[in-house]
Amino acid sequence: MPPSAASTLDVIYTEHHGWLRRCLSKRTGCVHLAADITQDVFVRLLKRNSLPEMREPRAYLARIAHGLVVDQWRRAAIERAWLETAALLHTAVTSAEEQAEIVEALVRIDMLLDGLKPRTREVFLLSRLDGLTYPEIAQRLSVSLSTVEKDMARAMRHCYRVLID
Amino acid sequence: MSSASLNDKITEAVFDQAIQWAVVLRSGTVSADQRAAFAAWLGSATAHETAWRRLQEIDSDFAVAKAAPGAAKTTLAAARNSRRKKRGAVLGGLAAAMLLVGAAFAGSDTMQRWSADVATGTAEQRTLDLAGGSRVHVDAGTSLDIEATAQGTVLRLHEGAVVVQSGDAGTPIGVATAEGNFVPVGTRYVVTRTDRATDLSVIAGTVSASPADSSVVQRIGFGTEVRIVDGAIRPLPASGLRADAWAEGIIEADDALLGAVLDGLAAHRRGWLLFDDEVAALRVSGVFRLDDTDRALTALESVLPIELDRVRGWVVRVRLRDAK
Repeated sequence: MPPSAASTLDVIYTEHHGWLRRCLSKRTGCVHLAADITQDVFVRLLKRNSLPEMREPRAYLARIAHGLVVDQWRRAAIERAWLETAALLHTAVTSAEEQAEIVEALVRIDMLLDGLKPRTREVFLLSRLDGLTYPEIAQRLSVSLSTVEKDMARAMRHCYRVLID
Repeated sequence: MSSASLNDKITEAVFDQAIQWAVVLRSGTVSADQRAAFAAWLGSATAHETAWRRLQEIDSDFAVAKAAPGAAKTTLAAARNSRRKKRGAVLGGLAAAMLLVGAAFAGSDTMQRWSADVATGTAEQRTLDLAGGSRVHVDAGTSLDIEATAQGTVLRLHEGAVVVQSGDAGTPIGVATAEGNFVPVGTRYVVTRTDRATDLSVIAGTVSASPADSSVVQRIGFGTEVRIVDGAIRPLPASGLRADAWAEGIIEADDALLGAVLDGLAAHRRGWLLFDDEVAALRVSGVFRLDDTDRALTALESVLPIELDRVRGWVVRVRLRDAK
């Protein structure tokens, strides 16, 4: 990051981080979570090669924070759903590490697949998670083989876009 | 993998080729010739290899989750489900957060998009009284924006359901979703949006319905239900549920699928309601109150061959009684 951008970030940090933290702790009801998210917002800005021109820095910061809050909430939903599901299905999970790893993977998968049409999503999951072949998927969903292939390509393109975003 | 290689530029064309190869190799029915052709493609340019490696990143998470595919899929579905019901509440919170900032720069793009949000959480309904005597009932788990256009007021429905009752005076209240647009002609109608599909149920009068980005306009008469999905309008078979009953705090079923009734109850209770296809396929008639869903469930248990299994305080599983 060029020095001018770094000093701009310094200014933004000094002027707005207190506001952002207060705003977030009101929203999330947790000062620690608010502090963490505020930190993450600025870490995210630091990692950028260049800072966009910010006419309304607070609106900009709030937008990044919004994304992080949604991530947080996505993670919480997945964690809870996993614990319930594992209990219901009596899934044997050997260790806490393995459990954490699976939850982490599911959070990312959930994020990757967000916004896919239900059928495309189902095709992709049947292939990638259940390990079915395309002919098996086509039969299971009563669609043609070329539909399965198109859905797979669509899903991968979508995941890739999410990854580079 | 170094971060430098991640930042390499890959042309769209190369990436398309990588995706096509991935589609071929993941078919589960790949031949030796195809493998050889793929190896040749991969080795013929470093950009090919870079594009391919990036696609593999998508696979790494699936490799982990594959340890428990059934639980993984159920978890993903359950998380999506709970999110559908909670999204309204969170968006509402953020709209309020943005309002705190509002005074400083009202008029900025973000502000206009978020300031008009109406959002309801689980088991929360709201009634909006709009100009000209029009009234809008907003169901639980719904989020929408109110937009003023040259043609009148339009409710931009992101998810959930609304009943629109046109008033005697003023311009009609239209509804727009990602799937389609609805313009009423002195009427009462219900629009419900779930997962990429929008349903219209006309209770009185007529509604002009058109898929988004389409010039097709179809007049839908009262007593008719249609669904817009993938840009097409299709009639819906009778559901046996009165579409606007929730606005009166009830579910009114006449030989409806139990699955549809349970979905309706689930939107109005905290926690989860789990049931399988066999349970969903049962038929039921009756009136159930949304403000006491426990009672509704007990009532269903007394008339149908089902039993309630309270797994946790807030997880209730409904199953066939003899399927123990």
